[in-house]
Amino acid sequence: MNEGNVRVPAGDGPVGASVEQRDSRWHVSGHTIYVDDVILPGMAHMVLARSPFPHARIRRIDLTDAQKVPGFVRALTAADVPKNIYTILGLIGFGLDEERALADERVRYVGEPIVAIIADTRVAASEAAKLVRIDYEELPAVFDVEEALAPGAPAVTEWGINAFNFDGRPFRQVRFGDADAAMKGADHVVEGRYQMSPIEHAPVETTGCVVRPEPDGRFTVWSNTQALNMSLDLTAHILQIPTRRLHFIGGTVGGGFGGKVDGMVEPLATLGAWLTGRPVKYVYSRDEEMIVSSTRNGVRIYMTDGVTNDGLIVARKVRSYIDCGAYSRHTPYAVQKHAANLAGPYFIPNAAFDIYCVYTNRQPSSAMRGFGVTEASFAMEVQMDRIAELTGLDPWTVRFRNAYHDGDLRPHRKPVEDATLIEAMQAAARLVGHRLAPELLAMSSKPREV
Amino acid sequence: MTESITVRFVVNGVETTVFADPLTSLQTVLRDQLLLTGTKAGCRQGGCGSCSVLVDGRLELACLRPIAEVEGRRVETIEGLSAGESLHPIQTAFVENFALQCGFCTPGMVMATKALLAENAQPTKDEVIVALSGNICRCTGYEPILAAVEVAASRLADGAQTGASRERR
Amino acid sequence: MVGELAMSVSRYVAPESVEEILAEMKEQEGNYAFMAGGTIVQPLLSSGSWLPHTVIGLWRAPLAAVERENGTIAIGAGANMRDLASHTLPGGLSDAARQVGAPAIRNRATLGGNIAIGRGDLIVPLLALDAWVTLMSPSGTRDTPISEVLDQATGELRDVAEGHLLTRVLVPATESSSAYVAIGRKSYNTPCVASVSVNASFESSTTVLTGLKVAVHGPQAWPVRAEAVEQVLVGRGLDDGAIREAEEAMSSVGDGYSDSVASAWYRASMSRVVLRRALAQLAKGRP
Repeated sequence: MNEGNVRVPAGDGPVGASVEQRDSRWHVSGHTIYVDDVILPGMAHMVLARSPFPHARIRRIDLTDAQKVPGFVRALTAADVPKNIYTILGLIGFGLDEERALADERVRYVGEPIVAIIADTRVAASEAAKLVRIDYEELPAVFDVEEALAPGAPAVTEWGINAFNFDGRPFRQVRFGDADAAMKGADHVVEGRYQMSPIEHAPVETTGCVVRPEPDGRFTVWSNTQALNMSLDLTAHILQIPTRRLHFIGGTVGGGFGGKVDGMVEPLATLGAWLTGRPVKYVYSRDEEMIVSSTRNGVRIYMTDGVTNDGLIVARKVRSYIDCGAYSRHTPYAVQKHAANLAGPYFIPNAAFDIYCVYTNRQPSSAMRGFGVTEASFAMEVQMDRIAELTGLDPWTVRFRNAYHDGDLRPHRKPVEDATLIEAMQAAARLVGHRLAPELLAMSSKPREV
Repeated sequence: MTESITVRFVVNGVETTVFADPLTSLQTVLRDQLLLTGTKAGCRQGGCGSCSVLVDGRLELACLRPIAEVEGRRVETIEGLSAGESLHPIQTAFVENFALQCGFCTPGMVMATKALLAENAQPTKDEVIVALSGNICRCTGYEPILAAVEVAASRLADGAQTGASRERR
Repeated sequence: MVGELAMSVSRYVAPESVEEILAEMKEQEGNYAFMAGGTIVQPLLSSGSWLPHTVIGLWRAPLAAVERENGTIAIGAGANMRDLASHTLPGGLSDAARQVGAPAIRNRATLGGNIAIGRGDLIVPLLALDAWVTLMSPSGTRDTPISEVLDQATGELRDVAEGHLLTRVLVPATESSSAYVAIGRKSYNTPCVASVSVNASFESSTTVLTGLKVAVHGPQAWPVRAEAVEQVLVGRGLDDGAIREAEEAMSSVGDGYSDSVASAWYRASMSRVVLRRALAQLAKGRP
């Protein structure tokens, strides 16, 4: 098969053939069982009472009215959680023990979970959750990344500084060559301020799980998590039980996109099943999916490029503020990826990057579709077009001239292998019928001649 | 608490009786009482279309109709379209054209397509877009779905012309 | 047994006649809510966000008829968007109905419900038609202009929700030209950012406006008549210069309002755009 210049090897395998998805027939006929379709005898429902404030101290929790709702079964508070630390990256030794499964003394974002209500029906649980009376002392809140880092900003974190610590610094640092000197020697300086708002994945299926206690002391958990093993480990960790007591069933996810990797619901639902002896369903409402579940991080990027008249970037300085919201979750990983991708597929000989993971009183952000990198790509590709405008070169030329080659060092000192940007752009130009200049057609990703 | 009432209606051709709070949504009755979970609950607010069903042949959102108002009506859900291994042409067109990924919006999309093609056998692309505008998909980007609807329309039209009646309408 | 919303709704009735509805209203002494198509009320009930003592279902009573008599069209408040779209109603009313929500919503959402939320899209063409509404209560029936039901100065909705049943909307069976233009954040199934409805009568075979009514939702948080725009245009030919001045006049109708859908600036800008498009449509239709 030949489409333009895309060559596909002919053969007996699936490449080039149309292969039916293995679950399509069940999906189109409505027979696939998603989490909310799991309905078990005696199943109870869990609904959370959540903080209405972005930042507050919890003074008192009163369950009296909630307990009177017909169908009320049980309420879980922080004291019921065996190890009340929710920390997804802690499982791989990277995160901080800063977030609770159920808030005890303080809440840091609107929607933070405080009391888990279990009742016979979803409506009863919802009603009882509304009747949980909590006395709060409101605290000042901060919502902007740069304001959060300014002196005197409300402290979102327990340790008082609204920035994640990377090897002793409040930002991830990358230094390569001498960006200041090279910037001074540049013919042009291009500065840009780029911002991306948080994005909610909004899968059509909301986050959720169903947990059934088994006679042998194990728990069967149907979950739509994208991270089955991590969710299992997290549940075992929070409940302080060996992992062999958990049987997680997953793989049927009604849309994830990174929004179902945090394992937020399984620990509490399993605890609820354990303490009540009943199956428990905990599924987010649409409102919770929008307001509470994690988003892609918002980010503000200040990018400055020193450029020659030929359109070559000789220096790049970047200061990025990635908004992790109230808790860091996967965002330190976003910072790593962001830092490692700020040169993109281009060779930049002098670089200075400072990437902050900033705490604000916003909905915590987490994974989504290339998080950390997508934002960097957006900023730098606009920057490339601006460089083209400024130097009078066309956007293809700017990219070809700056494209990295095999053997080039990236700012974090990783040598480039299997570079193909140049060849990909050449193929793309052919496919869209764009004629490239001979200089560009002659290029390749082979190592530069020294 | 409102007194529960008896409601009699037809679901996928089967006469059905339920006993429920009159303001329970049709969505909840279908899923929790009748265990017809093919009709999904994506938002419970009429915004996503994943609970699309046909009521007396018209496209509706099951989350917006109270069961009291279903008395005497004819309801069709996704489960009514296929019989065992045999799929409705719309369903086959969806499978063959990769008009789904996670599948959660799919029952609603299929029901909306059924409603469309029953009223307009040869819709233009714009008419398809309007007909499916109440169904949200977060996975496919919609183009494969539009392609599947076009294929389904032409297959159903061919079937009508040649009189082939093995497929369900 | 499945109970959906059990907590505080004590009573549900679906009377078969308007008289029975009025009797129920009198008996419940204001402690009730109406539900027609369910597109607004059912989600609130299902989530427990709103639990009135009594819910009165309006679907059984004969409230959906569309009747023409003596130059007036009486549209039952129970008519749904699909019905309205199919009836070729004047003043852009059918066009507006065609654009509310999505097909499944249009099969249920009613004219009465759209008015009862105080911000419904249909209020814009109704204002530009100088429509009246029929309000019934246990103590009597009266017809009143829609511009009095939706207070044009404050946006407050009077009488429709409280103590009265909106049974009909009365519009003139006008022959005047009309244009309705609405813009949302996406093409379909989207809340309105700005919408405008224009009813115009022209001197025969010219573009000179002898009469003009313009209503808009965008400059203010509720639909209003754009008298400033009308004053600029009446008596003039509808040419490019007139349209430009009309756009300028739209700015004095209001500065727009902000919510999660759009900023005030964007609404104010789009209000001018929809007006321009509507006027251009009307001008194009002239010889």
